[in-house]
Amino acid sequence: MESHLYRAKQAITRRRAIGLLAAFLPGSLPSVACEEKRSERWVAAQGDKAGSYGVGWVAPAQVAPASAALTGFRGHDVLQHPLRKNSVLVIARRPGTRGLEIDLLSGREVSGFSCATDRHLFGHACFSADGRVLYTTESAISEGLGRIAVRDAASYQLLDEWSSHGIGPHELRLMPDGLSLAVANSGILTRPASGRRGLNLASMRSNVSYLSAANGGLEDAFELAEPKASLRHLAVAADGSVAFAIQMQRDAAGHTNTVPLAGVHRLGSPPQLFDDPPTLIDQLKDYVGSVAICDQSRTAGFTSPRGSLAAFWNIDTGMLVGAHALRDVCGIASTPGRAGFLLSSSLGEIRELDSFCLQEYRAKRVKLPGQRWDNHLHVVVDV
Amino acid sequence: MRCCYTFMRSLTDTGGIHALVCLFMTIVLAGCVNDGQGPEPPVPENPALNLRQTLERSLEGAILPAVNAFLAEAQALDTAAEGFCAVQDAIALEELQRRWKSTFEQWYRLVLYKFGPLDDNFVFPAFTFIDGLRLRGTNYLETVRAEIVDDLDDVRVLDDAYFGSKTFQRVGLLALESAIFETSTPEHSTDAAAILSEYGFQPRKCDVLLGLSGQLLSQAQYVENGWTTEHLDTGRPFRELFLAGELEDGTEPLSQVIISSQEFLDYLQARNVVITAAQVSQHAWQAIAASIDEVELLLRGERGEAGSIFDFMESVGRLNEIAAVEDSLRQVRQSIADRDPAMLEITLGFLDGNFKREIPDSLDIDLGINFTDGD
Repeated sequence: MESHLYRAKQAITRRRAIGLLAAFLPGSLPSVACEEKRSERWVAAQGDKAGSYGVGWVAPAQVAPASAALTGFRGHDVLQHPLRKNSVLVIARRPGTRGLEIDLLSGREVSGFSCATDRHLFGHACFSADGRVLYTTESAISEGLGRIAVRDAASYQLLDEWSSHGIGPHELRLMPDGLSLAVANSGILTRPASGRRGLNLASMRSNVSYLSAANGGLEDAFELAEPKASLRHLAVAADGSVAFAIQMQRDAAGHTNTVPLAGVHRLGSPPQLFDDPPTLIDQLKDYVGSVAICDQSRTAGFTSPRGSLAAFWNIDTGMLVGAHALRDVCGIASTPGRAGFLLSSSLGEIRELDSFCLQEYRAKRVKLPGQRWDNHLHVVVDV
Repeated sequence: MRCCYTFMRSLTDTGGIHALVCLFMTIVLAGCVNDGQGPEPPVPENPALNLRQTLERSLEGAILPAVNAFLAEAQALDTAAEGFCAVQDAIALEELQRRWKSTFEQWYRLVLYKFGPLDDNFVFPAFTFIDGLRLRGTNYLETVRAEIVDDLDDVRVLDDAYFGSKTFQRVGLLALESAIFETSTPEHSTDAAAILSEYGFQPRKCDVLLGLSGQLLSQAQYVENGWTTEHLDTGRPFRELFLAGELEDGTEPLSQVIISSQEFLDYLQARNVVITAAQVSQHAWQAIAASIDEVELLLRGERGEAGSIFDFMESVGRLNEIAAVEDSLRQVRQSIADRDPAMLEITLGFLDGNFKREIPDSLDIDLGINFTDGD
């Protein structure tokens, strides 16, 4: 009895796995040797304690230790400066107050900014379409309200400040038309004086708001039915589809139901949650730390360091495409020009997957012990 | 180590950004694990060798015995089910119930090691087919009850293929518990005479029992086979992959043991397992006591055998950390003896904390900054 039941289980398991892969098996993997821009760099905040915080970067297939520069604060997101392609801007994570521009060729500080009085950052920023304006998510500490700070991207001079139309704004993204911003308001109030502890979990309401990139006017917004689902990270497809990632505030929820942690929104439509399969969602442990979209495959990838798992859904069908296990994975980025995803972990690994079949290019695996890739990974080009 | 920390601090303190290109920066960062807070523990002459010994001791002394013992229990339960169905008397029922309890306890030892063959699939991991509760604490008792009633009322053939195709919510230890400890009538009587009577007038119930016990046995065989013969399609036993540090997600094997144990302790308290698991058989406290036995075995090793986790911690001077863990274990034991769910939750929290701090710190295990402090 046992042996054929065992085989049946194996067969079922394999069939399920094959089912997940069936949609993309006919095509072979793109060549590992496909053209890569020689000037491409993979960049992330790194470090694990005061004194080691900085930004690190590697070239694809690099086997030597990563290049790095200290920042003096723990960074969160890192962006390539559109006007100075050799530079990246490191944004301090909550409740830091500094942004620092680093030249990747020299490793030196180029410029930077500090928040205005009574403001702090949330680790994220984006540039306007012409690259001349920088937007950062900030908090008005006394009021406890979300703000979008608008700065001159060349000088970092503060130009304006708008409401984020929520509390605890986290990631923001420029929409493809260049006219609007999508802002994930986490709904969670924190104050520097009380550290990173949420102060309003009982009453929190999270949303994604769409603002005019010209004047901050509210154009649209959506919330989710689950009040303790904190919308935190965003990625935007070329057609304007916005993938969103959630961190569930379970202790405040009062229930143990599976809550989807990922989804997609299109203006004019209700948000679509990626709620299947629940057994996989459970393994994300109520926490997604980053999201990226590959436009070629129409796949969005979501990372959970608590589950040590990256999960991928098709943003049009809402179907699970696959998953990849990597200890403490959090950084995720799409690879320009070759339909792939990069995954990074704080244990020093970077892996590249084909975004259609999600198979890893194992020969391209980068493992740099001691390199502590933090929350977000970015690909910068033309350095 | 302390000097590189001082060096790093001096770089930041002298102001601005200091570009440290390539090489040395990473070496320095990699070396600065201890931040100089408190006295540094004595380092054994060859810590890597000792950690290797600790890994091997954990595998040979705790993990593989737990795998083998669960298989033996599942086999004994299947045999007891066949024996019961042959005679259907009170003695055989008592033996069957006793076997289920010992299998359940052994599961609560094995589930501490929920990785490798037990966690073999992103969507349908093997462990869920043994214990659906472990996934996220959802109690499927009403689901298994309804499924058994359907199976009794239907005319379909209740063969191995049928039970092998069931979803995880409908099989495993919970379904067996319902089949063995209560009637399938609306009152769900736990009276032995009523259970025997139902088996007597409903011959399909033994088909259900045997199908479920066979399915559990197949899962136990699958797990044992994965550890000792071949894991998935790797062509190698997971035991070998584990010892070689070739886990697919890049986790170091000893880290995997500690993380898995910590996650189980977190699950026990966060899902209040003592008041949701094994409620028909009333056997949750004993199962959790078995889990704590396994935790102690993992940490202390077998008497007289060197190389346990505590041995390593002692060798690097982590006596205070050992004392903290022992204190937590003592408090958990006391809450179990007192049958106090509230204190159990609290004290399991202490032990969970030990697996997040004292133990990984002592073993120099890196849980990851995103895992511990993401945003």
